[in-house]
Amino acid sequence: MDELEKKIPADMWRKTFDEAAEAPPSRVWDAIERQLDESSNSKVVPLWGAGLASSRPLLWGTGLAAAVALLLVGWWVMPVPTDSEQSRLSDQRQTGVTPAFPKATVPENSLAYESQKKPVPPIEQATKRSVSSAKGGSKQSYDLSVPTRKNQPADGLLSQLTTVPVNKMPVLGELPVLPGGTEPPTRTVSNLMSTLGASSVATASFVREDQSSLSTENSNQLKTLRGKPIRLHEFGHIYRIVWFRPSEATAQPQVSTSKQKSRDLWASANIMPGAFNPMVSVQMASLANAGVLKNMAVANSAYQAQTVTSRANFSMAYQFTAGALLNKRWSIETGVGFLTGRSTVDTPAQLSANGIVATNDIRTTTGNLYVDALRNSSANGPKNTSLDQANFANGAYVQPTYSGKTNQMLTNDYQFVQVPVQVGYQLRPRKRLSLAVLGGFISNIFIRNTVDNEIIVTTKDEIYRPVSFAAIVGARFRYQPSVQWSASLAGVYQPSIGLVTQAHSQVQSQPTTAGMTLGVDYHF
Amino acid sequence: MQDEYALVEGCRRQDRIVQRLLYERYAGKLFVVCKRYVKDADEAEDVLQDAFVKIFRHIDTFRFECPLEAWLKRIVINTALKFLRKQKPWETMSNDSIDVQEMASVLPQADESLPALNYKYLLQLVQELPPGCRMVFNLYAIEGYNHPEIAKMLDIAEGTSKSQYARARDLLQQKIQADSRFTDEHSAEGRKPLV
Repeated sequence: MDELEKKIPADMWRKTFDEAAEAPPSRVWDAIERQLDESSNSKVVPLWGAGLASSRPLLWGTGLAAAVALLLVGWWVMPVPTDSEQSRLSDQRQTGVTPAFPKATVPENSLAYESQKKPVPPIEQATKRSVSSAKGGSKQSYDLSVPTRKNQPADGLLSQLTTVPVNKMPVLGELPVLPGGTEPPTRTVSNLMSTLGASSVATASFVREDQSSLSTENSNQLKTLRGKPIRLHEFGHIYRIVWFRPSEATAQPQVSTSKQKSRDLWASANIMPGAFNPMVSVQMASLANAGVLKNMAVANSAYQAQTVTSRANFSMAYQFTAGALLNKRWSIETGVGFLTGRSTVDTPAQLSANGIVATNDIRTTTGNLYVDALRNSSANGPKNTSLDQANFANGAYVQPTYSGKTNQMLTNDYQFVQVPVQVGYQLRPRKRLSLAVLGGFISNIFIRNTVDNEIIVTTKDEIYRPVSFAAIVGARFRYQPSVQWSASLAGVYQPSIGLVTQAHSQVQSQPTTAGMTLGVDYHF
Repeated sequence: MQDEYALVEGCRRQDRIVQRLLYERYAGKLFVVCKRYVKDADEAEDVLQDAFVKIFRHIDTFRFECPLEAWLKRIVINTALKFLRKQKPWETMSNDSIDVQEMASVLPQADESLPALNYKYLLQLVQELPPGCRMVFNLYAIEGYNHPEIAKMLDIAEGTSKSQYARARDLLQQKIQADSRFTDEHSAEGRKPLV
């Protein structure tokens, strides 16, 4: 036995900690409650909103339709006994036959059950709250007493419903009286009757007895006019709900890993101001093959310095995305967006054969390497372009050459429809200010390229691929002040995967986009 | 037992008042459980919070096959183990994390008898253990699991569990030897051994 065993016996650890308790700070419960609220409130999908769905007539109409549907369903579901059934029930009561329902549901000591077997007790034996008819005649007592026993089972309570003849019921005063002096079928009413004052019951009884003097003919008329009688629940229609728990073998408590509850869905509207650089270049070999450069020596010597470059300008992307939190850390998002990417292309200008610059207006789209390459790459061909007209001098075709010293600056604006698919990894999950890293790819569907507001290149020109892809990398802060709304700020870099131009095109472009995404998110 | 049924049923309905009642009833004991597994009160609060969120979200899975408190405790322990697993407890095996002298501030007074040791003293002893030793000691000596079970729970070798437990005992023994109150007259001969 070592020192530890001598000093602290084994069971002391367990006993001491079994009884130990220490109240945690109140902030723990506050945090728990906040998390529970977030998980419970974020699942509500609003079915109403702006436009037609929120209009008042539509809401009223919907409510009215629902009410009518409920009434129809209720009328159809509620079984109404026929006259023969009512008379059979009456006979059963008169002869003391117990209705066909499980005997266990009616305690033997219940008042209603005994009232079926015993004669009605005299007034003297009634309780203080018993009510008698105001006039003579058939004096009957109505026991409206409320059960006072504690822990009485529901069946017992239900069995003490007061038995009242129809012609003595002030509430059911519209019901007809059966002719011939026969005992009308009794109906049960709940002990809510006890809330009525004795005087009101007596007055109603007086009116009823006046009505009982009506002739048989009048009664028959009333009978033909009567509607569906109010049907109150009887014992036979009460079913026990038995909670049955089968024995199970496993005794280990298990924590369910249902992901449905922890899934968070959101929709976002984003704008992304940033910089778009098409990274254009011109293939020299293609130019030579196309006849633009027939003298390869010129190409090798002069065109090495005559490269087309591009610079990024301000661009803007608009995106609508939807995302889902797969678990505590991972999320997936997709959506649709529109990118207007603006850039500036620096291209060598065209020289005439005698070395004079073809044009003094460096803003023109004619006579520069970039535009010539675009036109030569077009599926429509350069035949109808102004370039060809410019290169014919005195009826002879003049081979264009380009100056490495005189450049033209052209605006070059792209438009893409974007479909991003990205995953996010939450570095700060379930925090009010969360941080996530993003990664994925984006499909860029080419719409058009406008060069200097004059030349418009579309997919029909077969210069650009209809769909190209770019990678997405970035990081996003999201501030969520409420359960449903949050704002996000993300830095995103989108380099193209491969060229956005066709392989045969003289112009090559591999754009990159970098920007800050500002978004508003709604969490369902 | 009826109270447990009512509490569980109320929590299944996500009745916030009943959830609060359940929390008030068991949070005290479970907070001490959390403290046994982590190194300080702040971490214990985090674990307790995560555990109760799990409890309320998965209360449907409780089928009264065991006492409610045992079920709750098991969830808290699992949450604490998951929390500690992120800290790579098996890589911190240094003796330097144990400062026996610091224990003097929380030791009971010298005239207290041994049975009067309150749980705070024992808790301090346990909390000062390295994370790996602390987990194994808690599971073995206090919760009552055996080494194969602990190895499975922590995804370690059974030998690792045994060695960590032995190391925990050594460290605790060092602390106790440094405690002047544990003299021979206070020690109780014939008591059940720790292991």
